[in-house]
Amino acid sequence: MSALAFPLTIAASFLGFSLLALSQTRHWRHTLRNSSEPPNWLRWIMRCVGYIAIGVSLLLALAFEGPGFGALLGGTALSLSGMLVVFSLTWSPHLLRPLALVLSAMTRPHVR
Amino acid sequence: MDSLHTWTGLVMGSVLFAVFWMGTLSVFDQEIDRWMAPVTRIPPAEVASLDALRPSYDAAVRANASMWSITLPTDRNPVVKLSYRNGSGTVAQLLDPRSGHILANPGTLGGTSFIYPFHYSLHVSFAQLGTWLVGIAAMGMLTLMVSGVIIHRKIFADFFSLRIAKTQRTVLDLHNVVGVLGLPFHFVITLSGLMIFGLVYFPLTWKAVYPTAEVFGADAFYIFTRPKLDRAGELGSLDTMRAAARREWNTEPRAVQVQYPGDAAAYVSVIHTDPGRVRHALEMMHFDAGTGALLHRSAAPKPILDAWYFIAGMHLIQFNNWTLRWIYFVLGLFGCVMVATGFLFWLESRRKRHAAEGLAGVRVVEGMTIGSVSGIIIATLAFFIANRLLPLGTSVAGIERAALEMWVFYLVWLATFAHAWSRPRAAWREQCIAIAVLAGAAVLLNWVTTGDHLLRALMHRHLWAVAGMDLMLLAGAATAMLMAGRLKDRGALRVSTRGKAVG
Repeated sequence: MSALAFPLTIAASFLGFSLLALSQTRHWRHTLRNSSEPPNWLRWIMRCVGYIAIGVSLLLALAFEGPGFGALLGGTALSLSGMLVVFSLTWSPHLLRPLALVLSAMTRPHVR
Repeated sequence: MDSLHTWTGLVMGSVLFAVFWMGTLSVFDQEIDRWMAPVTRIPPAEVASLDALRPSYDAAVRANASMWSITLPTDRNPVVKLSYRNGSGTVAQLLDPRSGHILANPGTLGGTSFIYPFHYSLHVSFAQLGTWLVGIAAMGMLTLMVSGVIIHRKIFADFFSLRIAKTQRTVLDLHNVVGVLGLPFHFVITLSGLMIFGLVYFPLTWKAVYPTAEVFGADAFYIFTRPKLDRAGELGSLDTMRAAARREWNTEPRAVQVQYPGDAAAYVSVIHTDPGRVRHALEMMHFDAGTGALLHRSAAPKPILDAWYFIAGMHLIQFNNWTLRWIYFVLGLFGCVMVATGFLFWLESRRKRHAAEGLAGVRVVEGMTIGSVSGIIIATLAFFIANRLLPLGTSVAGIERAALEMWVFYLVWLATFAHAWSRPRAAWREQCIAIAVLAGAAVLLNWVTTGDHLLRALMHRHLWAVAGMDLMLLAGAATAMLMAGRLKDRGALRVSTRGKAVG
């Protein structure tokens, strides 16, 4: 058991769920505090990378903890980080704001 | 599907909350034991000699006990437990492994004997009725999860949505979010719980094939037995048998049992579990009590049994993994939130209509909900407080201390229902305040009666269980205070809108 297993697994799935959440207009606007909308290509990228990050989180759990504990850690970490994303969106969206700002910066050349 | 979800939730909700609440606490049952039995707050140590425990064995022989057992200390439970059944019940003694001294009877059922069995049996042992009720509730839970996903109107659009502006919206969003995100854990934990008791719920599966439970046990679980001879016999060196078992498993055994103490056919079972793996299997070596010769050892499990051990193991968390233990605790709490918000949504969405039509439904269910949710939490806290207030050795009208604690639990629980039905408008807030006060009082009483305050407990490794319990009580008190504050605002809001409507 490595001390890194839990934080890395949670971090990867938190990133994944954050991207999935930001790919939805409601959360995108709420986090950026404006009325913009993510372009479709960005939505698509956020969802792909989001799912990949969640997959990576499961792989990290399995790699650190082996098939038995890894499966339990990976599975439960999904629930936990999903709820962390929900609570962040509701009570402290500023936690997700840096990520949203970076993503929103990517869209700028296409706005015009 | 809508009415299936509504009715299953309404009928099963109370039992489900009790099972989720007690199950969540059971994650830390042995830590609760440390808190409730201060004599057992000692640093862990290895037992030097099992043969030194001989006087207890001789007592078991004299009592004509059917079995004598030693449970050896572990990281989570640092004491040795000696027990045997005599004619009238179980005689149990706790021992300090460092000194070999017998510890005072803590006089409590604690986490492992009250809270944990409540989780799967509700302490209704007649005809295993409690276990069946929990099983039916678990089937209800599976139904609720499947129907809940089907009736969820916007499962992906609302996947991350928790809107807190309006009470009814918040309650439904919270119910949906913990329901959907917690689904994998809640589904697996419910299903595995049912599977652990599969042999109880489906007795014909083995009764149709095997003549007796012993034959089935021997074939399915490699359980070794041999008949009693009713002739006097000796007991050889338990330490030699322990050493042989240690060579085999490279770790200290969990327990040592002697069947038919004092009989010529007596045999010693040395029991091992591997806390380094998810699967929870009891592996055993059986020795002849007199000669110490190896009689039998459990074979490697067949694939299906091995899978069952894994499924049971991930539910029972007997493994050493503190990260997972805490995650289970948190997700268990989310399960409680899911059941409670389900009730609340039922109430909030009917309150106006029932009031207009003069229906009693909301009133009845609200009382039931308050008693089942905040009531059981208050009862649990009262159980902890009774544990700290009753002096060791107390008995009232022939009821022993451990049973008195249970009585406090049940009477307080009953009182919370009475309170909820008699003061439905104020009960939520008042019970939240009660939770905050009782949880705080429990922490204080632990300090006053044992001297192990939070700072001291945090500084000693062997008191971390106590520190964890105190911290959770304080966190619970703070949460309850916060809820009480919010309920006050809401109450004020409701009164003002009502005033407007009337005026």
